[in-house]
Amino acid sequence: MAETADIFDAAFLRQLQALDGALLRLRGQAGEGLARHGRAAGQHEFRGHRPYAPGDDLRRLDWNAYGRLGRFFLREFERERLEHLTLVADTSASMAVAGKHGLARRACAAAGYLTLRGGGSVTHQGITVEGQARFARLLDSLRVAGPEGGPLAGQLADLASRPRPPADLLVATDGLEEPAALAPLAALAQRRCNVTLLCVLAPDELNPAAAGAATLRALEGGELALNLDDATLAAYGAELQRHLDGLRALGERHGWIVVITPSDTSLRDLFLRDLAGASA
Amino acid sequence: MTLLSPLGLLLLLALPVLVWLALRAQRPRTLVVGTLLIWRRVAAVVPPQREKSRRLDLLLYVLLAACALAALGAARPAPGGADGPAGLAIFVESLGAGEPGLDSVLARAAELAGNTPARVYAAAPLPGLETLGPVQRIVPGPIEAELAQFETATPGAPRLLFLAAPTPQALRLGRVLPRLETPRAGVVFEARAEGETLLLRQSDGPAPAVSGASLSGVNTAGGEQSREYRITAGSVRVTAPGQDITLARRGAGIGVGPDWNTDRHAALLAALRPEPGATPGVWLGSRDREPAVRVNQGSAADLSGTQCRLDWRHPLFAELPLAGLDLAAGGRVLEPAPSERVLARAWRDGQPAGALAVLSADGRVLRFAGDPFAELGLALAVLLLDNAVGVVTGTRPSQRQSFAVQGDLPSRRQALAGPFEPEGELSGVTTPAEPRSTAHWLLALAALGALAAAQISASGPRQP
Repeated sequence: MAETADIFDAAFLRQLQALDGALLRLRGQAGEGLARHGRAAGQHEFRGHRPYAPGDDLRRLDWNAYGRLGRFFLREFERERLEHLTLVADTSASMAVAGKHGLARRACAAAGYLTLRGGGSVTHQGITVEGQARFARLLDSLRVAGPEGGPLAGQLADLASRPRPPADLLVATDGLEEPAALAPLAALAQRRCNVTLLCVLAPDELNPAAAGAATLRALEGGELALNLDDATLAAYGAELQRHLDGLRALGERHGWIVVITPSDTSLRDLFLRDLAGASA
Repeated sequence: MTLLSPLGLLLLLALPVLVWLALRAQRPRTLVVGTLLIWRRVAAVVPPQREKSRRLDLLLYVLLAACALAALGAARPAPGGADGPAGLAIFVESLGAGEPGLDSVLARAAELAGNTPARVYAAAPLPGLETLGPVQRIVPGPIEAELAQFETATPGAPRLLFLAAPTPQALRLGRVLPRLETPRAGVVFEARAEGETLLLRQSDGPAPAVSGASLSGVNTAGGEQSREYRITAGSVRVTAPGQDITLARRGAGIGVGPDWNTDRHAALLAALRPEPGATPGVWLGSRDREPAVRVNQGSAADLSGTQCRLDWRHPLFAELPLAGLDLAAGGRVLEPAPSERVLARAWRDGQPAGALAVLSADGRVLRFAGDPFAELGLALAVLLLDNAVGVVTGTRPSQRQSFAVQGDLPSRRQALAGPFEPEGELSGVTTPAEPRSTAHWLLALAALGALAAAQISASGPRQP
């Protein structure tokens, strides 16, 4: 189920630009919102300089520094520093069905793009990207992050073990983990990390079809023989609902934003409807 | 019916394929999922099962039935014996008395059939045909009717036909060979007496030997001869090669009752040429026998000033000069029974004055109030008596053939049979329609089965 075509093609980039404009309009209507929830906005303390990179906002060039040093530097303020988004795209094998991993990575890319457009920085798998011009590096990082990695619990435990927790954390996963696997997220939330949990589920996982006697072979390993009749499917629906309700309850308890969406959702619907709605 | 038709074979082959597909479909499917997290919880609630789906079984059975019905329909079954024979079908036309040339037919048919099994069809019991194969009799009739029976009974079979002469219908059926390899001459196929004249028709050839009649004329045209003889004896014997025909005089037996007692009556009776000693087929002047023409049955009455009105459409008055036919001249009238039909009645001043001639309800007794045969002119009386006898017997004496042929005569086609060049194709036979085929019913049932299968499939579980 690996993605063969480039998931970050030109059409995707056009979607990002359209999404940015739509989000700006949405902010104009609803105020600051998506990434800065739960935190006071408007902090502009000068933090320092960083070298200019093509694409940076020329209005923030420090001309005095240029006059003294002959090189372009950009002035950075505290708010931009605080807008640092850490992305975790679940690379466990279960993400390799029905475009789940694709939507998770596109959602991470879109969130990173929007953060970089706002002057923030993004970290994915230990690579920090600052400035919109370096968005391609983020895409490269996401592009190689196929669903062959280890379980999500390991990635989250690594984040929770760092001395300085991420300020904003977007975890794109399918949520089909034991609740214990998400324990590091609870620890991060207690350390003032804003956690957004995006659960991408395949349509067949949300509403499986009857197939009679079947052997279920999991990409994560293991097989299970079941008769997929109406009774079994009803039991599946009840169990899945109970699991997702557990995720929502966990998020509510720790202040996470929890969004559950099928893998065939468009980026526009995901950001403007699901994420914006959950953040409001 | 044969299941070896290409469509039937295809449909038969579809049966095991359907079973294989059904068994394959009922094997557990392998579905790839991301994780078994939720499914394992489900398995704890619903234990694994491998029950067969009854709906799928029903679908299979319906499809198998539809396929089998369609295969049977494609085989074009025709219950009731409309099936064609295995191997060669041979038709042998009968030539009538003697059946000449039959040995030649047997030899040629055996040579053409070789080792191929054959079935023989003939309308007459022809000796020796059973050596070719089973013999099936068909209903005798015109050659067209016999060939139609042969065609219906042998659908699709290669056909050999031994005929007196080829016909377009026969050429369409198969290979047509001459029934006779040598021409047959002088075969009499018609012998008819008209009064004292004998007419014979025969195929070209020597004249037959005729005794009891003398030749008066010969006419030849179109491969046949017409001969006319004057009969000189009470019976005529005609002898031709293979034929011995006798024509015997056939007179009418007429009985006489007490009311038929005048010389005029005797003269009228002689004019009818009754056969002496023959059992009477009609009685004249009899008061108690039937069928009968009775006279003087009425009582005296004053019929002056009356008019005689006739039921002129009745056969009693056919071909008579009605103007001179006055049945009231005898001054008698009848009191008809309610069941009797009045054929002549006397009228006076627009009122019926009495019945003059009545016919019984069964048409066997004709009663006259007076005796018109004694009162009318002789010629009119003979004609009236001829009609009267015809009314009660069904045939007027004047129309009865004076001589009857004893024995069967061949038909003109049989008499004119002769050699010809074989025509038609042995293998180029056409498959006739099978009027009793049930194929359309079977195919209709198969179509219904297919519709039922579609309905079952549409209402069944959705397959991913």
